[in-house]
Amino acid sequence: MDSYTIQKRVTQGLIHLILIIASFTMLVPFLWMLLTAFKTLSESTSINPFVIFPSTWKFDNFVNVWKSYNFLYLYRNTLLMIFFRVLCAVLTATMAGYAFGRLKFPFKNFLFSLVLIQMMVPGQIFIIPQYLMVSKLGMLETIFALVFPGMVTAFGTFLLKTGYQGLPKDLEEAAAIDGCNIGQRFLLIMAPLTRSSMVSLGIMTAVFAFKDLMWPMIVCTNSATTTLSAGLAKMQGQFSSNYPELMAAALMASLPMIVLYLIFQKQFVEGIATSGGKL
Amino acid sequence: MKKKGMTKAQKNEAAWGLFFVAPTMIGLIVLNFYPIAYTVYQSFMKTGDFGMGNIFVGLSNYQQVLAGSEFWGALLNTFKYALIEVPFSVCIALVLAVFLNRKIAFRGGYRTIFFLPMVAAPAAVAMVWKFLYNQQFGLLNNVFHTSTEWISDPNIAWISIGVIGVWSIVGYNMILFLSGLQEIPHDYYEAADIDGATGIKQFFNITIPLLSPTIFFIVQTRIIGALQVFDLVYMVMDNTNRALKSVQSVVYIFYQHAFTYNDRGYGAAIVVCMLAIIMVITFLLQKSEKKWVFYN
Amino acid sequence: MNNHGKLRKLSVLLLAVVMILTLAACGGNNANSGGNANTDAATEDNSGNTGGSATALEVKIWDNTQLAGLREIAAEWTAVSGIPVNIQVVTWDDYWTLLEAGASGGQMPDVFWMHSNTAQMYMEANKLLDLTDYINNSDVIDLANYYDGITTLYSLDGKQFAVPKDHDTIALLYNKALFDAAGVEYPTDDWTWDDYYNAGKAITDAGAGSYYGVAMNTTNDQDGWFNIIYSYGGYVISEDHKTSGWDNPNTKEAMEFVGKLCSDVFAPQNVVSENGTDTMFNNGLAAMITQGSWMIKSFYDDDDAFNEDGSQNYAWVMLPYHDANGDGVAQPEERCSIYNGLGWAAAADTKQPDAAWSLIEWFGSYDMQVKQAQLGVTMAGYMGISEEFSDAFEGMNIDAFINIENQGTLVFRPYSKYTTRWSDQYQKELVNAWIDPSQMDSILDSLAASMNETLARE
Repeated sequence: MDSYTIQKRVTQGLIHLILIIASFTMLVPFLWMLLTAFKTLSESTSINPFVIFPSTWKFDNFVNVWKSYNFLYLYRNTLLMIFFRVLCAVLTATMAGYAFGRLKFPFKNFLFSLVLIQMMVPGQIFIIPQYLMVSKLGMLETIFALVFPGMVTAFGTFLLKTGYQGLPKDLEEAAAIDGCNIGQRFLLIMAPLTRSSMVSLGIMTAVFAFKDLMWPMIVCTNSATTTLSAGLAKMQGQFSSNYPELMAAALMASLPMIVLYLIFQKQFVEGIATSGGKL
Repeated sequence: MKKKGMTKAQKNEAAWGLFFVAPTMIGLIVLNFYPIAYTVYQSFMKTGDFGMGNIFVGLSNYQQVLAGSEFWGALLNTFKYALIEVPFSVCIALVLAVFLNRKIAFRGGYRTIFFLPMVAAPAAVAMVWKFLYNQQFGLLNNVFHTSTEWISDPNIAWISIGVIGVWSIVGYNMILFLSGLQEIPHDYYEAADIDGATGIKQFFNITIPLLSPTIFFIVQTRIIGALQVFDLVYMVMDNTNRALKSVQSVVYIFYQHAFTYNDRGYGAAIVVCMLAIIMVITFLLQKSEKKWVFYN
Repeated sequence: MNNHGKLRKLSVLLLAVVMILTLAACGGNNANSGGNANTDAATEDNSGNTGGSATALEVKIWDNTQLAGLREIAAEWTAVSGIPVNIQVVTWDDYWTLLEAGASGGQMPDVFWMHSNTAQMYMEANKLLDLTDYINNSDVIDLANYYDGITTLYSLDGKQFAVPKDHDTIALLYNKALFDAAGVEYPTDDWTWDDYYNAGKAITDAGAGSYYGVAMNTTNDQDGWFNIIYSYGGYVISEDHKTSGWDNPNTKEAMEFVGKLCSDVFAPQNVVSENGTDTMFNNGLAAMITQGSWMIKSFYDDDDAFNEDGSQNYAWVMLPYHDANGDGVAQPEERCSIYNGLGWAAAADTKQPDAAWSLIEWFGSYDMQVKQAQLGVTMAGYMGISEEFSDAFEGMNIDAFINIENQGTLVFRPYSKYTTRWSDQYQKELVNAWIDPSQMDSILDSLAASMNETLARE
């Protein structure tokens, strides 16, 4: 072995060491959630001795939480909310993104500046007016209410606009010569080319819809109509002192997104990469 | 005006354009701009209960917001939070991304782990960190045999909150950096290898300049995001936490005034001031872009 | 790579199947208003819908521990009236956001709870159904039968907007095991606040940081240090709800005493704030807390409430008194319990005012107030049915809550039109006095000034 390979190996080892330490730090909260979820209440608040591993691995806490909160409904509502929000967001943002990216029309710059401004406003100010709208429509406690604020997306419009701007001009020009109108050009040629942007928007929408907290807490107050995030926040109020049950609930609420992430990891990573890399 | 001079094709294009943006724009106006306009309107009012009986008071709400210490304190806290979250999450993410951009074993595994916090429910994140930080029962104090008041000591709490922020976002930034790194042509590094430049030199002379557009983008979006911090403070800090005053963010005090105290006009004035600050910062960042971003 | 692709396709398929299934399974439930996790409520909904004529009354409350009992009472009303009732629990913060948004032009629930923090605001804005005529024509409700602090609270300009639902009193809860460990004698009904201080200090000293005599936070106002202020003859807000009492000499004397408790007896403020007083008590970190009657059930159900032989480990005594005249005996005015009472109110714009009233009348009736007490839901708003309440907790003596009604003075909880604006203020500012009691006096002065300013803006 020459000194070069040795040096290379040492570097590799060092990098692994740093990465392992970093990974461990990132994982600690999750591991603690997992370990606590299996503990008894007294184990979780025992200091002398401090308990790291539960004495028995029983699912009691999960069962208790499952019984007192109907997780099936929470999963269903979250799933439906994500599904419809993604559908609406991708649909509207693809259309608007195409127009902003490729077409000339009156007030284009003004309208686009509105899109940009929306992204700078703290979301909390939308809540009450939006709540009143849903309430006046008589749609509280429904999936529609959950989807409502996510029907259009400024972020997505911005993202898709960049996506369309990056496409070469000649494709569309060739189609125009073939006699395609703008609608056909959009549907048949341009939209399919921005699939990766759409996927990334879909994933971002799904993640942020999943993490949305205050809105579902207000429009869907019922344990049968609300989402995982909001349901979990409520449990914190109810089992405030029972760490094992709280952690069991936290794990159960986080699990679907984690599983989805593990399955669609490649799409997640690519999706996020396109959302930022091209700006 | 302009329209008169439009050809038929241009008119056609304008019609399609407006048609395509219509759903989004109508949605944004109804869902977002009406609320924004209403908030601005409220900021000039002494708001009555239940949206009735608003009295015009001119700039009085703004005077009170800007004259009191609460807003400035919260603004300082918000900047302090951003000062932790943005640099640390960006630097750590950058280093991790550079490591993971090499051919290295378990690359996918590391990447999966770093990104995991992004997909955890926010209430779950707040719960577990609150528990980790707990002075009596928390893992941190019991493992290190300390009795630090992680979230109750005003000198420490803002850092502890910042750490949660960094932990939550670092994986996201890392993935953005990874995609930026993949666009840097390999020949640059090969040439540098031949010249005998060390890894660290390559990092500062090649990676950083070529990655600067991505860095700029991330820094800019993270600053705007950090200035709007709310969920973390709301969920981790109890009302009687003595460190609350040195942690509460601007959006948090807006929420308190508008929702807890039912003083919408005052709350609206707070949020409008914050919006102005965010816009100024965005403007300055955009202006400075050319100075330090290297475009190929 | 290939495997990965297959896995992905499979999972997409799986996801689609799951979604279709859940949609199909729950579609029927979605159709009726909201659907409900609780099966008996869901069946109530269904029976109501198939019955056709009656639409369900929407009822909102914020306390989950009361849900089961109130559902039982409401079910009996449904059996009589044929109108289904759908009771939902919303957490305290959300409850007020919701109700406010509902009153600002949205939908309010038909029947709901009112609280002293906000009642005046809702009454002044005419958001609550005027019940005056209904009450005058009712054989069941006579307002003279209810605690007058509660009936007054929910009336404005001679109109009545809510029927009292319950009332509460405060008592001292202690953990016998910790008293034994510290070698301190158990509290008695004859304790003065000074006895409380001495015993608490002995336990805190004995605990040396592993447990404390008392856990009390600035938020434990009604269920804690407010009682000390009033037994010292002080007050928090004047009777006309216009001026602050923070700078009243008696209030200050009481708060100086609280400051003494903070430095010698109470668990450190940050420990209390991070864990909560109830959690600390349940985990053996605090030997004593003061708590309200609405919390009895949760301590009754705690694992450590009883010893293995069935005897009580957690026990209640009356709140201590302040022996102002030094005669060694407690006069009623020397022992104060701050009380509050919720009211049953209806939305001014409810589509079924008669049904809403009928339900409120049902909840307020003598029989149902007795039932509410028997189920251990809360103490009645109707006077004279405290005994039934104490029977609800077999094996635990809760006479302390009842005895204080004739051996002490019940003082209505301080409130104004926008209570939270100043209550939040003192809860936050006093944290500094809790940590450094030497600042108590100056903090009280600044609180008095800022509270008066806030009140003037109302």
